[in-house]
Amino acid sequence: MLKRRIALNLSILLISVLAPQGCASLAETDRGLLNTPAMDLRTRQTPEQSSVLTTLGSLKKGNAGGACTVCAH
Amino acid sequence: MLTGAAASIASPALALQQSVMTAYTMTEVSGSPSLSSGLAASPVGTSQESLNYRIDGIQKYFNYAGGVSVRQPNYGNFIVRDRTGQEHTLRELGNTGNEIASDQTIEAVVGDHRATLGWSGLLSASPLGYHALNASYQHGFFGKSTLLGVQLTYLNQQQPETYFIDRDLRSRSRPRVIHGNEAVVTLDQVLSERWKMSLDLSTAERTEERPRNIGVTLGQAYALANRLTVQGRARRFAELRGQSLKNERGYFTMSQGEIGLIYEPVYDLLVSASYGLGVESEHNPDTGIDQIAASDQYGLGVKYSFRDYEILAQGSLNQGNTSYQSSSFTGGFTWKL
Repeated sequence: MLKRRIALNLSILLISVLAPQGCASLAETDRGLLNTPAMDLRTRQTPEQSSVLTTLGSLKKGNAGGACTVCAH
Repeated sequence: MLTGAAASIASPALALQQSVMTAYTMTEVSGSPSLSSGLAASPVGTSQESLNYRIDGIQKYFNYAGGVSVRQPNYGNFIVRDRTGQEHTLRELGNTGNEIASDQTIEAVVGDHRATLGWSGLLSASPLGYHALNASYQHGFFGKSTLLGVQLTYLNQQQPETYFIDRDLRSRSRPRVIHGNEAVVTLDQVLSERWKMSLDLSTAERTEERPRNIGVTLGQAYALANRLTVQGRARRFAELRGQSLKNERGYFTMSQGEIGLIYEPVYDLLVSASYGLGVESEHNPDTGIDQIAASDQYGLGVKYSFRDYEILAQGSLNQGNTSYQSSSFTGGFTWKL
């Protein structure tokens, strides 16, 4: 149990040190392709997937479209 | 954008960018997504015309976006039950008029910090009137190759008077007002000069109606070539089964996966196609009834920017494994003033 806890803590420490260093190197990445509209993950190019049975994942849309298209009643 | 003589004497801090967008959206719905009799949901189609305005660079740090839309919902399939169990559609009860909605957002961008505050809601009477407040904050790290943020949403939604039979076989009224809340932690990460990802961890609840749910959304975008990009998304949401049920329905889960290709044949013309598969399930511990609904969604999109204008067209077709089918179309035009 103690060995497992030590291994977990060392892993977290290692990730906490290496991850920022790895991310820091990405600051120098050429953004020529990354900044194009096609690479924008937050602006959709096709309509968002709609759900058939529930309204899960759609609360921030309020009642866009006039009503919840399918209400989980 | 200031032009001519005004631009030569105006400081960059005062330069404003304005744009006006108009769009038309139509959604058609047919069939019922539920597999079990007596559990039919209420599909609603609608058409909508919207006018939006955006201005960037107010006092150097602020941007504003707002819009108004006029909607024509089709309540012909939205069923409500009265105390005696008689069913009526909302259209039969006189809900046939246009509805007016609005949304407003203020954004502040200072260095690596970005914050937004927004409101959206219906301005006219509606059996499903609502208003929502949302706020977000995002911070960029390592030259904005990492963007970490949080989004909060509060929803107040009205519902028409309708009754249902609960698990004790008693007639009960559904709540007339729903209070919803959602919190999302977002991460956008550059992985290489051709590859980026997004990750959202969320929790949401419609307090009077459904148990709290948690969700994860993973997105990936990869530039296969200078003019060809592939995007993929996977989402998983599940209601917490440790929380009690508040109506006759069971616990829902939803899994969706989507892949899309975006091609730029000429400069500033994007042609997109996507396919998505969704699987939703309901587990009711009281009745022992489980049901699964699956759906395919096909999407197309075209966007073209030229000079100070942009034209957009998107369409989708969603087919379920029941009789349910929906389609949508959006056409938009943006003029950068």
